[in-house]
Amino acid sequence: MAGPGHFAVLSALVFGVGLFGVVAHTNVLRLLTALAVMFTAPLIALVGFAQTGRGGAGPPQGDAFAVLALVTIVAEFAAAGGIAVLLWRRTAGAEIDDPAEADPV
Amino acid sequence: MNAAAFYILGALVLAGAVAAVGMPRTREAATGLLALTTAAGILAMASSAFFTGAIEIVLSGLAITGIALAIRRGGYGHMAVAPRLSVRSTVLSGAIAAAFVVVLLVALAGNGSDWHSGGGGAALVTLLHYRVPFAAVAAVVALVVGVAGALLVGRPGEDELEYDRTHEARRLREERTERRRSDREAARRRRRASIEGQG
Repeated sequence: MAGPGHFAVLSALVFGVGLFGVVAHTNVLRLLTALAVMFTAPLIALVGFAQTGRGGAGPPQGDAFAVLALVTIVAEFAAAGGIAVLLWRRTAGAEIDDPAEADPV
Repeated sequence: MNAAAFYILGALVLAGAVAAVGMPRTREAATGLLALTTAAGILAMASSAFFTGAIEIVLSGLAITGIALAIRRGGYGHMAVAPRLSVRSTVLSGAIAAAFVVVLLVALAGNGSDWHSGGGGAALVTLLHYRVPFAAVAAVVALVVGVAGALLVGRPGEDELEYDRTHEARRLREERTERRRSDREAARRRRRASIEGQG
């Protein structure tokens, strides 16, 4: 039987993989992808924690949190995509190492 | 939830995460991300969180597909060309990520099995209830503002459109000049060849 501990460990591992991508990548799209991986980790944990409240009269609090977090992630993802496109048009580059040094178009 | 099902879905989730971060091409990474969110959604559904799982699959799929289409159709394909990771950055990032994971796992192990059981207390689900739809409205507003902000920030401005038009006109002009020059050169060569032929 998988309990909340299992979900928490899986969540920690996914978070670690996402963190690796955020630190390693400099391309803005790859960075966004890695951020999305990191953001998925708490969703897994929240769903797992919500399991403990189920079976009785417990309300699915974790689910409500997860839905709100998910919507926020998608909104953030969309806004970051727009900023990435803007960065590309202004600097003709998609590297975030030092965009100030990139040649403006 | 069944332990075997959890381990299978957990392995899929981890594989998707590794693919999203480690694949060399951005398209493959996006496919990995899609696989990750789908597997996480199925995991949520298998944990009886059907609504959350369905929303996760649908919303994430729409967001990833939308951004991929916007990049492809908007002519920003070169943006997706990412440099390969160097060994140094891979090792450094791996060490940082591994340290974080160790901290998280130690904290979880220290917690033991003393998990909060969500029995009574305030029901957050009531915030999504149709009679008190504050959280639902806040979620919809966040989504709309995020997408509208992305469209506002990402769309080209009037000055950029003007620049693109000027750039394109200059390119066409230079192309025409180059073609005329090469035509003149070819005609000169032909003339010279015919004169030499007559001589």
